[in-house]
Amino acid sequence: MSSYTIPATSKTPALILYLLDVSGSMGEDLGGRPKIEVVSDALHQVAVRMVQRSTKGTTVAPRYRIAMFAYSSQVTDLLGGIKTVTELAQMGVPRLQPMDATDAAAAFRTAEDLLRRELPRLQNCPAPLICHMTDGEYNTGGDPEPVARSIMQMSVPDGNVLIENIFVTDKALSQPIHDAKQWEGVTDEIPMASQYAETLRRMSSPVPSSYASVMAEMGYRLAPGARMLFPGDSPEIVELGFAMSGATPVTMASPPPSSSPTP
Amino acid sequence: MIRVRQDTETPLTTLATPFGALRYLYARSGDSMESDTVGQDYIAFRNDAARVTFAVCDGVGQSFIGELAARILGDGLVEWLWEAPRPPDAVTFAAQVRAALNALTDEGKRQVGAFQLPPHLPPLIVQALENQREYGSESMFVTGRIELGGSESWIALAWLGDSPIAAIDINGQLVDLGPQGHTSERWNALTGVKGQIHAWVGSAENVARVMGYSDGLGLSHPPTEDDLTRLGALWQTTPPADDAALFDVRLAPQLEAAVAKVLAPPIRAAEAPSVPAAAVVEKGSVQSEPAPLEGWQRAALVGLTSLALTLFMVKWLVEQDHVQPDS
Repeated sequence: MSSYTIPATSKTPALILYLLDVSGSMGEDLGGRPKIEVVSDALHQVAVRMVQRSTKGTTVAPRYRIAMFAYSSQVTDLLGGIKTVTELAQMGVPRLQPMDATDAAAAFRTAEDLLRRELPRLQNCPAPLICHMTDGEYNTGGDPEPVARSIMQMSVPDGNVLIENIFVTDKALSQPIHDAKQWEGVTDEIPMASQYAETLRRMSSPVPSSYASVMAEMGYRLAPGARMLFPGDSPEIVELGFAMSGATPVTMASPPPSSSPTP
Repeated sequence: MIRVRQDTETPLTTLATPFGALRYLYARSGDSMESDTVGQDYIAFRNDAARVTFAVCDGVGQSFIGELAARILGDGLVEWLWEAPRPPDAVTFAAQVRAALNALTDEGKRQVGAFQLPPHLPPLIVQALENQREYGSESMFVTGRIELGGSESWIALAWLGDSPIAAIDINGQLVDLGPQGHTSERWNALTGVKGQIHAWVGSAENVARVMGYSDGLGLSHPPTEDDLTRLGALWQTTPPADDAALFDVRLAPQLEAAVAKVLAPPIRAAEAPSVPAAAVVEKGSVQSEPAPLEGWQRAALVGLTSLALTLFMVKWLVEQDHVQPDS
């Protein structure tokens, strides 16, 4: 039964895959800075948070395994394979550079191939999560939805593979998000303002309650049933989206909402 | 005060006392052993012929250097409890513990601020640790004082967080200490107590055993001898997933054994016949144990013990009369 409650530990690390759109439009401004810089910073912040969630004293336990792919007209492996958070802490998070086209399907196919190889050894681990960040519709390589839906059918005992989408745009919602901390998320009832936003919603998993608890500890208020879709044109929404990607529970217990780390 | 080392394993260790035995063990997690880092649990205690105070602390891993808060807290609690007057009730005791812990934050702030990170850490780790430093170092605890001298024997226990504490009476039944703490409760070295201090105060008369331990033992019930034997054997090949610490006070010694123990030097697991062989992992794990007794000290101790045993026997006889039905 899917539960998404297996904690990320050294023995059962969580696998997180990042698919990052580095098309030319990522060089455009977001809140006075190039989008690509905002994304790079948010990625750095989630890495810091993962390290914080993995420390014991001054050592970092390998609770997370991470892969990062940047995509434009081709897919680039930014880390040279899957790295533990311990290794990532040594390497640092790579800075992103805007390139040319947007081939989201190729990125998802890369993720699918990796998951097929990895899934057999993840049977006791938390369900893997794919965090896809884009600022616009694909313009080459075709529709990513079929391969994304195929990935969402892949599973381990903890649950189906999770996909979240961070859509850096002001064209996804009819009402802009004023306060990321108070925002309840995208549910199936909320009308989307673009066809591609609808597509991304279908490509986004529901937020598991264990993830919602972790997000609540960070001060976010996502409603039950919300999708893992974070559409917006503010750095706060980008930050929220990346925070979600590091929200795999790290303890078996499900404490009440608080701002406390867990022992 | 005896402080159990955090940088190595301490097998189940028994110290004989005139009132029974103090037992403790400490095991680092597999991760800590692999990376050769200290454990974040901490045990400190102090005792004489009629009094013991103890603290078992569970440092919070994702706070700033959790073992630091555990040490500050453990040492502070044991020292404070040693001198504290008998609390009239649990509510008062909980309030006193809270005040004592909040007063410890001066020392906490000093130590957290002064803690030197190892040189050459990668920037990402430094940033994560500095974020944690701002948040503070945190620990949960169970603590207690057992007072057996004077006209009345008493026990005061307090706990914060989900580390278990238990007492067993002379009939082998669990004493109802009230609800267990919650994982969200902890002491922060910068800001003090978070959550509710739980406390219990009562007579020691019918209590046979008091124990506090960290959740690293992985038990849903107070550890039995079988549990300790099994864990000792298991940990020799498979270290615990989390740091594990236990402090166990036995107050109902068998008379012959008590005499033998009092006359013998402190027993360590390696020498104790009741200790599982698997638990005997001597890696320089000797704690700062009491110095050997001088001749006059031993004579005094024997005298006091004889007196205590006589009183114990008298009390036992009185109790026997008391519990027997009228006939």
